[in-house]
Amino acid sequence: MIARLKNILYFVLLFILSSTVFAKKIEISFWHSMAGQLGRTLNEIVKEFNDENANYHIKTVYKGTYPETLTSTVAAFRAGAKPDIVQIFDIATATMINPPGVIMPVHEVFTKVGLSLPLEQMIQPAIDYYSDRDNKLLALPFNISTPALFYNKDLFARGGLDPEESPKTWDDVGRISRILIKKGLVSNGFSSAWIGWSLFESFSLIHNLPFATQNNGFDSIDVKISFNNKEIQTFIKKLFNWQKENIFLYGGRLDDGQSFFTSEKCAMFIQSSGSYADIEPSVSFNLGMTRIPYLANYKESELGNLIGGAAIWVTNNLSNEKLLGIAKLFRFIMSPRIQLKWQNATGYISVINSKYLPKQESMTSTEKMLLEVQKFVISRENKYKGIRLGNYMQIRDLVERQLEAVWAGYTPADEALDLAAEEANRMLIRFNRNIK
Amino acid sequence: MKYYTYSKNKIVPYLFIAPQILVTILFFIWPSMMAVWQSVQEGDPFGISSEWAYIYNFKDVFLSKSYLHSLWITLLYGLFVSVFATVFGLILALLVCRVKRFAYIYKILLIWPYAVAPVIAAVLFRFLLNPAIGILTEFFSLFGYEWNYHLNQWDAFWIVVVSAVWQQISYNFLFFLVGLRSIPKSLLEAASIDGASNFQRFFHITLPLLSPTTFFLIVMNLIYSFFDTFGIIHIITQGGPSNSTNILVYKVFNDGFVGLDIGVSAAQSVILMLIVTSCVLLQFKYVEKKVHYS
Repeated sequence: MIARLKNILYFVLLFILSSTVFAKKIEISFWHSMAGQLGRTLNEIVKEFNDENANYHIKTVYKGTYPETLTSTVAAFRAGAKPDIVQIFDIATATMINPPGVIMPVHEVFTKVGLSLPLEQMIQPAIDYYSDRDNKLLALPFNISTPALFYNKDLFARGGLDPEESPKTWDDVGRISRILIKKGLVSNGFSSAWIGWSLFESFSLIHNLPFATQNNGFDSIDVKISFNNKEIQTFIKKLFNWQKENIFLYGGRLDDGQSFFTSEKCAMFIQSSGSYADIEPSVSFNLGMTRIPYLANYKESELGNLIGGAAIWVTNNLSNEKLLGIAKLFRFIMSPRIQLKWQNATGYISVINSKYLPKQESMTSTEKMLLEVQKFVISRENKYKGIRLGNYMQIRDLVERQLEAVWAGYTPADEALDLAAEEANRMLIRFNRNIK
Repeated sequence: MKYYTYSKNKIVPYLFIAPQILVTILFFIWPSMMAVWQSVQEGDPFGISSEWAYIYNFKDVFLSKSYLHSLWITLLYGLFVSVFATVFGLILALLVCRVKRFAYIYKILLIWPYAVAPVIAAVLFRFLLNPAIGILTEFFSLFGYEWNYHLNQWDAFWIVVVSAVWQQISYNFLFFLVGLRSIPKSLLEAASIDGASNFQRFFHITLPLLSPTTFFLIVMNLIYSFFDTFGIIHIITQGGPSNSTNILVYKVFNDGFVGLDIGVSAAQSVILMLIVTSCVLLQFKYVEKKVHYS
């Protein structure tokens, strides 16, 4: 009896020992919002990293949409069960860095473990967007896109227009819309997805107009809204008038308007460049994609650009071992080979400048287009690095609500923008009170 | 002969209700207390800094125009949903009661929508009424009406009301059907012999005898429209266009779970809690006197 017990004890001991010897792997939890094809690609990349690095095991967990992942992270923080790294969307940047203590800036992670990121190969707008005042990287830019104008080349040709000559200015968009509507080819000229981002915020950034004080919130959190300026008012009024002429067709705050474009009710559509890989196979016509339009009275040299998407954040108080693993993972993700794979499989823009990407023997039309898109965001000088506001989710939401009141004809554009600014300023005050 | 056995044991009954009490405390009482606590605190979403806000969160709530608008919309919405759901539920129940053959088929079909999850119902209506490809949108355009719930506030209001009512009619139908069954036939027959018309019988016998059911359903419909329609709104309109379908519970979600302003969100949910509680209490107090409980 005793002997048997002893045997069992030995086995148990052996088991415990062996598991500590063999399972020396350091597990790093990675929460993300990449569903479907995006999630599969992410998992492939992570698996490749895990296979190469025997010491580390990155465990990806899909946590729902961007807002859902953020909410889960907040709840996990409060419960003391936070993830090690987490993918958070662009507009929550201010939420992640205020107050300090939630995250560890990426530049600190790399200094601590003595490694570095290939910053000189990474595209500047992506670095800028996720950097602090001193241009030090706070989070790893991961999936990057920019709003773009999609257009139906076949309809352009049938309307007697050159399908290869893409619309450049808003005047072009209006002119083309009128022609196509007049010929009875479409009922409306264009629609847009994610209005708040791709039409409203992008308008300020493209034309280098201030959205808020303190360099759009990049310098300080004591920010006031300045988007209720003349240029935007005029633009919103123009859209409202265009709506009456059937040139502009409102398709909701999300991407419901895409069906207007794919069903050829509209000839043009503003949507994230990341959707190219998704729209291209789903339509029967020849698809064109170009930069988002600008005002004709601006020179090319006066224009800026913007990026959107999400970054990977490192949470605070991690062990040095984990930080080393994370730094290695980030370097792996930023390798040209992985960036090219990511770009081709997902439609997001490579964070590594395309001149450093491996040469491709033969490319599909989509892959060619995706290489082009990177030029949309790197070829122009930005006055502002982006927009960084506290309570940004609500501010975007209330802007979109006010715009809807404009489209419906309930509120004039200038009044709506003033109302939005007033409410947004109250949101900013609340944010500052909440984080102090 | 002994019909009932009484137990003198003082502990066993509590053990029986313990699971229910535990669930209630864990999932209802505790979160409610937390909401009350959060509503007087201000702090960052991650809980790193937190201090007393006293009444500032409530002040901010009432200073916000969009909140007052939500309050108004919620009442309007509650009114429409409960009136339509009750009236249609009653009409359908009355009609099914008169059906002689295959009544069970009608019953099954009419109760069916209740088994559909609100989110699925919302997706169905979103397809039917999609501004670009919806079948009903095509139908409306035959009459020259440009249906677009992304743009028109009343279109949005009605799409939400209709999807909510469509679901809730089944629930009302079910209760009215049972209510109608419990009305003694002898009363109706006696009235017929006395020469009462169909309408007289309905308004003087059926309706008064159904009043407990009706009262119960109105309260349930109100609570349904205040809370359970969240899924429908989330799928179809996200509270828009402008603020036209941004009812209180959706605003609580939006400010708290999307906007991460926990203090303001908690203050709103405390106010909502007070509104609903007082609604129910008031109705019980004043309506109960007029309701005929058999």
